[in-house]
Amino acid sequence: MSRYESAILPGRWSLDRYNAGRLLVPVVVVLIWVGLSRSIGADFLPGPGQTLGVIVEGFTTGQLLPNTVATLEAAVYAFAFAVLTGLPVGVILGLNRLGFDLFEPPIVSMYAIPKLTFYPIFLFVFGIGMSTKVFYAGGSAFFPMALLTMRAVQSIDSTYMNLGRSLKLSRYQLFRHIIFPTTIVQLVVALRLTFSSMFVSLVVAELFVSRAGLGNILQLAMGVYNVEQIMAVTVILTVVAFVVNVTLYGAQRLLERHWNMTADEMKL
Amino acid sequence: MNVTYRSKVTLIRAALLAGVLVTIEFLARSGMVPSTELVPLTEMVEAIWTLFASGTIVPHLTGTASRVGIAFGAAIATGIPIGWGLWRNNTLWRILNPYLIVLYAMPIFVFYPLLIILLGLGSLPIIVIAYVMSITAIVISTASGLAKVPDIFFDVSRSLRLTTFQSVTRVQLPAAVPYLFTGLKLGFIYAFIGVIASEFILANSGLGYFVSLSYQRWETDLMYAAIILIITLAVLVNGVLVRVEEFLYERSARQ
Repeated sequence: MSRYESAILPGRWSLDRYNAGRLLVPVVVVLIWVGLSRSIGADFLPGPGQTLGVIVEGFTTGQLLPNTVATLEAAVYAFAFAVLTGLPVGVILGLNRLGFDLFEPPIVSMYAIPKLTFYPIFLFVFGIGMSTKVFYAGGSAFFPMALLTMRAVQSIDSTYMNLGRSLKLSRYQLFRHIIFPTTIVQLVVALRLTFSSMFVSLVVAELFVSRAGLGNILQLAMGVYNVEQIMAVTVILTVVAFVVNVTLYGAQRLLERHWNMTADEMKL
Repeated sequence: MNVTYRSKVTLIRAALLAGVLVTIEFLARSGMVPSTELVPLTEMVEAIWTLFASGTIVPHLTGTASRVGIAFGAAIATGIPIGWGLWRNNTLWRILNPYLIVLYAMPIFVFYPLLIILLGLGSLPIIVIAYVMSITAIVISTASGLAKVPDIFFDVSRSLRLTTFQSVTRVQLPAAVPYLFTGLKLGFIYAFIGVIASEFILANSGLGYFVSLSYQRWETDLMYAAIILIITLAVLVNGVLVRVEEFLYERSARQ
């Protein structure tokens, strides 16, 4: 066993020095934030307390709540769009060798293309509004979802697939009893990277042209150099992304422990 | 994969691409999509030619290239030593591993507006964003790449009494080359995406800026020309990087 494997092999959680260290990391981050804010000046970089105040005020009286809701709503639709299109396409292409060979390289190249450059085309087609954001962010995130799914399905041990075929399993049974359990860990990684791709696309799209959402607030605040507002929105976005990410990563670790396997994080 | 199968794949892929291109040409020529929103491919190509012939695009091209170069170069120069240090310090590596995995999927780009306020409008905030996006991938793949090297390699370098420097340059890094290269490939892609996206949102030069400017000025042909340039650059560079990566993995699998 290499050190990589021993470091990440799943086990039961206990307060050993590693987990204690992990709990300290957020404290260190906040301390660095305070230090930076003190040395640069709170006018340029508001500290944690001040930012929290702006967030609380924005949620109770200001514009932050409706715009946070708008962004989260778009995020839910866009994520659903990416998963509901990417998963079936990935399974189909993963099971079909010709389909896999045809579409894997172009989807990999899509990954390297800054998809933001396509956003103006979405604006032409759908106009400014919710549906544009959803289709653009969902469309961008379709690619990691489809790619990671097709790679996971394609790498299923052929013995299992042959077993399924000789048992004359139906398509649904094949998916339920062979494809799903053997790829579930990779699929959770796919969900996490799909969410991350979707979320950044969504915010950047809102930042470019939009009428609502946290990206829109960022754009307006940037125009008038309202650094408190920028800091508040940046923190909200970071916290949302962090919570979703950690939840999905936790789910991945639980599944890894359950199925006694580890997922490769850098599959893209 | 035999030759006929491979040429069949290439042929079908070419046919699909041709189909897409013909559809674009048809939609634009037939007037089904107004010329303010889509121009025929021939006009896009013409616009690319004009951009180069008049030299309009050159400062944007060099601006983007130099930002990507600086950000990626700085990410390599600092990311590989940091990754190596993390791998050497087992405790720190185990503590930070989940955070790095989560950080890798965080929307780092949302810090761009804040960086503009702190550093001013110009190349600096763009380079910083691209650098942070790039270094994350490089650090993770350096550390986890080195950790995947079988322990026997290190036993051998110890029994040969290599110095730390010799061990790093002759054994550790060469053994981890394929993983390192995956990190460099991702690092380059993120640096490129970070630069283009920053320029697109708010900047005063660069290819991303040029797309956004042409969009706002309704210069649709120039906008598509710049989009095609960006896509071509991304696909070409990525194609080369993927080939090299495959070669390195195959070579290390043979050894």
